[in-house]
Amino acid sequence: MPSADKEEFLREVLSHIRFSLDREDIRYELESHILDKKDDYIAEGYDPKEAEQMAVADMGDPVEIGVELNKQHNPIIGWLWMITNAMVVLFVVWHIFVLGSQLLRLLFQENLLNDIPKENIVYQIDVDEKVKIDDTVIHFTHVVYEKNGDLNIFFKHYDTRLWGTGWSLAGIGTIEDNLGNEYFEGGSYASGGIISNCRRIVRNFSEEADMLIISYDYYNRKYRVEIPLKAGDTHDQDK
Amino acid sequence: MTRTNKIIRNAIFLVVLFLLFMWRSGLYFTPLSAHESSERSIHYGPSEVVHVEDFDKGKYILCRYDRWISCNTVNRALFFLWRFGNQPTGFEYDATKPIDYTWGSSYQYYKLYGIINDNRVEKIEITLGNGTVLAQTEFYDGLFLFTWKAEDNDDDFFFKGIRAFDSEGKIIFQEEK
Amino acid sequence: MKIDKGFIAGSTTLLLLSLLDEADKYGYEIIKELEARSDKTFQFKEGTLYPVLHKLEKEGYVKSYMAIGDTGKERRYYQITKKGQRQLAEEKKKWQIFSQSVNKVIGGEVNAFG
Repeated sequence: MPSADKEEFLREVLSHIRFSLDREDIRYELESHILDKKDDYIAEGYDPKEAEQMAVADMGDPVEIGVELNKQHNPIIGWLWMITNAMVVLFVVWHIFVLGSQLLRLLFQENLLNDIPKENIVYQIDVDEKVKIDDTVIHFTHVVYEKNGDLNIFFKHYDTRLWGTGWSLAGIGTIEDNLGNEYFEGGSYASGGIISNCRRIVRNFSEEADMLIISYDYYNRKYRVEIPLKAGDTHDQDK
Repeated sequence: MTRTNKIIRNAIFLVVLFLLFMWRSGLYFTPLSAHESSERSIHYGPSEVVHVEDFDKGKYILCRYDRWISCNTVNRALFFLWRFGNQPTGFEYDATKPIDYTWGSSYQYYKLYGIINDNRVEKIEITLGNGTVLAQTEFYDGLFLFTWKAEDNDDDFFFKGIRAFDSEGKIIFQEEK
Repeated sequence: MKIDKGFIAGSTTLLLLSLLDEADKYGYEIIKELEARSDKTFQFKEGTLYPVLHKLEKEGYVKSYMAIGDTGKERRYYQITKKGQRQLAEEKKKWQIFSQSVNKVIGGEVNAFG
C-alpha cells in the first residue's frame, strides 16, 4: 500500500467514527502516536518526510482501525451521556440558584421595625406568641403604637413543610380591643420567602384600650391571641 | 466509571432532582394531590370530593366540607403534571333556601355551583348575559355544577339568572342578577 | 519471528492488562514495551492497539486520563481498574490452563499421571 500522509490517514480513520464529539480526542491520540514514532525514526537517522511515511505505514489500515474504533464509540450511548450530564447540571444550577437566593433573602432580611421613626412611637411591646394553623406557624413578635393612632402588629410566619410551596397567608384574623371595638381599616406588608416578615397596620386604634385581641375563626381553624398593651405609657412626655 | 454507568448514575440523580424541582415549583403528579395540598395550604378542608369535571385548563373539583361547598380548580402544568388553580375555599350555604349557589370566573372560564336543599328540584337552568340558557339535570350527592367558556373578548357570558324546576316544570326558585 | 495476528488477538487483553498492572502507560509506550520485552516477537500494526484499548475502557477494565508524558507533551494514559485487576487474574489463570493443555498435547507426555 502506498504510504499515505498523516492527514489522509487520520481523516480516513475519523470518517468511520459516528459519534462526532469523540473525534477530536481520537485524532489527538492517533496523531501523537504517529509523531512519537516519527521522532524515533528521525533519531535513527531517517529524514522527516520518510520518517513520517514510515510511521503512518506502521499504524496499519486506517479503514480497519476506524471501523473497529467506531464499535467502541456508540453514538447513542454518547449522546445519552452528554444529554443526561447537561440535564443534571441544569437542575443542580437551578436548585443552587433558588435555594441560594432564598437563603440570602433569609439572612439579609430587614428588621421591619426600623421603618417606624423612633420619635413617632408611643409605646412598643415585645411579644412572643406563636400559633399554628395546618402547617403554618405564625409568630407574633412586636406591637408598636404610633402617635398618629396607627397600631402596628409585627409577626413572622413560615411553613413547617420546608421546601414546599403554597398560598401566602391571607390574613391573621379580626383585630379587636378589650373595649369592644373592631378594626377594619389598615394595610399589611409581607416580605415573603422561607420565613416571611410581616407588618399589619391597624388605623385609628384606641388610646385607652389596654388589650389587643387577634382572633382567627375560619373553616374550623381557630386561635385567639390576647396581647396586653401599656396604655398610658408614653415615650414622649408631650401630653 | 464507564459511560453506561454514568448514564445510569445521571438517571438516578435526575429522578431525585426532578422531584425536588416539582416540590419547589408547586407541581404534583395527580390532580387530587394538588387539590388536597391547595386546600390545606389555604387553611380549608379537607373536603369530600363529590364530582370531578375536566375542562381545557385542568379540572374542576366539586366538594363539600362541613357547612361549606367549594369548587376548586387545579390546572395542568408541563404536559402531565398538576398545580394549584384558583378558588379553593368554599361558601357557607343557606339550608333554608331551596337551592343556594355561588359562581366565579378565571379569564374566560366560568363556573357556577351550589347545593339543592329542596329535593323536588329536578332541573336547574341558568341564563347568561347574551341570552344563552344552560340546563343541568345531573346532580352529585345534592350538589350541582355549571361550567362554560366565553368566546374571546366577549363579555356577555356573565351569569344573569337562575331557575330551579320540579318534575312538572314548575319553578321552585328563581333569582336574577 | 512474526506471530499471526489472529493468534495474538486472543491474548491481547492479557498482555495489555499485565503491562498496565505494573504502571500507567500511554499507547506508544505500550507498543514499545511489548516489542522490547518480547524481543520483537510481538509486532502488530500499531494503530490496531487503540480499538482494543478503547474496548477495555468501555468494559471498565481500564480508565484513561490526560497527563504530560516523558516527552513533555500531553498524552492519554491508561490505568488498570480494580475490575481490570480481577480480569487480569482470571486471564492469567486461563492462559496457564491453556498453555499447559497445549504443552501436554505437543509435549509428548505419554502418560499425564506417569
